[in-house]
Amino acid sequence: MRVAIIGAGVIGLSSALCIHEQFHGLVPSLELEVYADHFTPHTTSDGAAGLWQPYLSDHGNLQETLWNKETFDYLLNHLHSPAAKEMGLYLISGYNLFTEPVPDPSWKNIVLGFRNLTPKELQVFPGYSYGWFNTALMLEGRSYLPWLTNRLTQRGVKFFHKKVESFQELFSQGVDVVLNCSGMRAGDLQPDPELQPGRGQIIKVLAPWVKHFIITHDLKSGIYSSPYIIPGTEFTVLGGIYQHGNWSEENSAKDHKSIWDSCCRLLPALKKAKIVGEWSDLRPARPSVRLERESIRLGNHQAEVIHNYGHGGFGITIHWGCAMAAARLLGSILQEKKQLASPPGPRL
Amino acid sequence: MASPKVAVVGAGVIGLSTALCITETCPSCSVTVLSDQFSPNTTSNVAAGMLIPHTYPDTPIHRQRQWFKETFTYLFAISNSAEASEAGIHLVSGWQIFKSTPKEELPFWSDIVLGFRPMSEAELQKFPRHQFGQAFTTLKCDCPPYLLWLEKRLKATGAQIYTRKVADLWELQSEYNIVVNCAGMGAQQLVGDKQLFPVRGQVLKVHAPWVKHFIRDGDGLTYIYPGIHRVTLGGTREKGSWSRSPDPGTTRDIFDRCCSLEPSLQGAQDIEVKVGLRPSRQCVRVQREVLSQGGVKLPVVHNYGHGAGGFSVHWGTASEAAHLVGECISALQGSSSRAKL
Repeated sequence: MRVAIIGAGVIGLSSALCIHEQFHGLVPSLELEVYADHFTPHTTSDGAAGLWQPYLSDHGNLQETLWNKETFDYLLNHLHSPAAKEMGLYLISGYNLFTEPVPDPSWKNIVLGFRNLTPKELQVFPGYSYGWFNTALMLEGRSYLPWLTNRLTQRGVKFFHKKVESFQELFSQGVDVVLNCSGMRAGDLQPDPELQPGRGQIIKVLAPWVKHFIITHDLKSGIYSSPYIIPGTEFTVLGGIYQHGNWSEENSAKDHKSIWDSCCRLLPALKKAKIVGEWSDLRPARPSVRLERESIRLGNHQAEVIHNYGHGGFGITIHWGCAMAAARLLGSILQEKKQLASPPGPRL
Repeated sequence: MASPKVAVVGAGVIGLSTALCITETCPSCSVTVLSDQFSPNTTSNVAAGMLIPHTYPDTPIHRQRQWFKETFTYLFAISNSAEASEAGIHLVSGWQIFKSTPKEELPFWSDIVLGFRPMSEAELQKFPRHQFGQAFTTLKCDCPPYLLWLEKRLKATGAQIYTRKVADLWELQSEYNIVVNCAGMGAQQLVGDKQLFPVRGQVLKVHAPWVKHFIRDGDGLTYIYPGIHRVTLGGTREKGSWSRSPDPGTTRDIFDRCCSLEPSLQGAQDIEVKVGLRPSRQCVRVQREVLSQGGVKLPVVHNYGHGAGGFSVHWGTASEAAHLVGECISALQGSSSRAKL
């Protein structure tokens, strides 16, 4: 039973690990293979700051809120494990800032210690009159992806550095199920007009005195188009760019200036921070995550694809919930193919 | 007296901040800082510099509150300015946890720090051996940056700074009109204060940049304080110990206690061990005195004995000491004008 995962970002690798953990004992013939044109540190997940935080509103998409919660709880349980440092996992607190009162977010009871900001705290951020404080998690892609890769390699999962041109290509080689975790380039495998780039650009600086994340919001201009500052272990990420429909992966001088000026206005001490890098990439944005089975007729048999893409700017935030959902879909497929007596129970 | 000459003995956080306050409240004064030790070799350099007050048994609470509030307000303004990183001042959030609920659930400073509130059940799950906790955001003064920044600001006012071991305050009488004693632990020998005693503290300074929160056990013995480049792990409170040498057994013990609160510290690198003697007293001595010897008078302002709470109240006591210097000057000017008659 050959299962091929296309994509080696956080979605592809975590789906592979989740599937292997759940099924390798139950399906002795299970062989997992990961195909990708980019591996860490060159994936979209590597550039993301790694902060666990969903968008402000789930637009009634409770399924996604549940997947976010499953991810947070899963990560929280790993916080005290010896692997935490290697995973790039740690607690972080910080501020969400607004220029007007807003309703509480769908994730207020998922994170720890969620509360409104006090007037004295708002003095730190002139121009913002309302906000939240909470404790969340950081999961740095630059550490998490290598950690996932090591776990998968230990488990005998094979990696192939190639750009898969079609699902057909893998099925004709004898693959039984394909997991499509191709992120921004899912459209190359199967056209999807709902998948659009949400271009982002960030500046990496050395500002080790910053211990909190600071995310501002401009309700008119939309998510991530207002300055944000996220401190990591090796550098601090300055951002605030979200350009829907822009496919450019080149750094823009105009965006650099916009990020720099707005972040320095937010935290004047940043003017003295040393810039150590800059990066642009495309958030694989979609009105909702595409997480579903698709049966493809190939000659006289049926091939199965599980789609798991379109996680926009919240891939790290939602990844484990989606990986578990993808594993459940695989469970159904395995059952149908008589590889499995009954699907495994819920993961403890 | 056209330009009173003021000598400040001591160049830790107390000496430097007091000298700076004096230049601000008394611009006509000429201020000189004298010390045998400077950053990075002062007691202040060993401390983490967290703004979490120590309670002095014999200082009225309202006075301690006032000192802390003044210090917090002053540092808060710097932390929000472009100078924050140079001055080494930054906000840090975290938790103070207790194995059993303390008698006093609201410390006197709870409304001065930011966002003070009890920890939720979910937050307490991180600390299975602790029953109760408080979450808040406060400030940290990192040394050496903060001390170097104070020195820089002092020099900009024209104040002089000299390396000199002062064995006796009287040796300064011929060159200075007023002496300010910020000698910390050194005050024991300098002024023979038997109420001053050391409380030895050993700490580890480690590289663990993923630690973004402070964690402090309410007993004050175990703490994790993340600074700009290093995390301070502590500690000990050994009353009466004068030993300045690190003890390896203590190092192991501190590391174990901190790892039990924050397991990821097992991966900490570059462990540096330091020892400081907290200059402790039942109450901080901020007081004027006129020393007298063979008909000669020497006005002295004392500002020492801050023990475990130096950073938390430094600006408040510096202001008070500067005010007392002002009183000394008025007294000198009063007596000199009387002398002219």
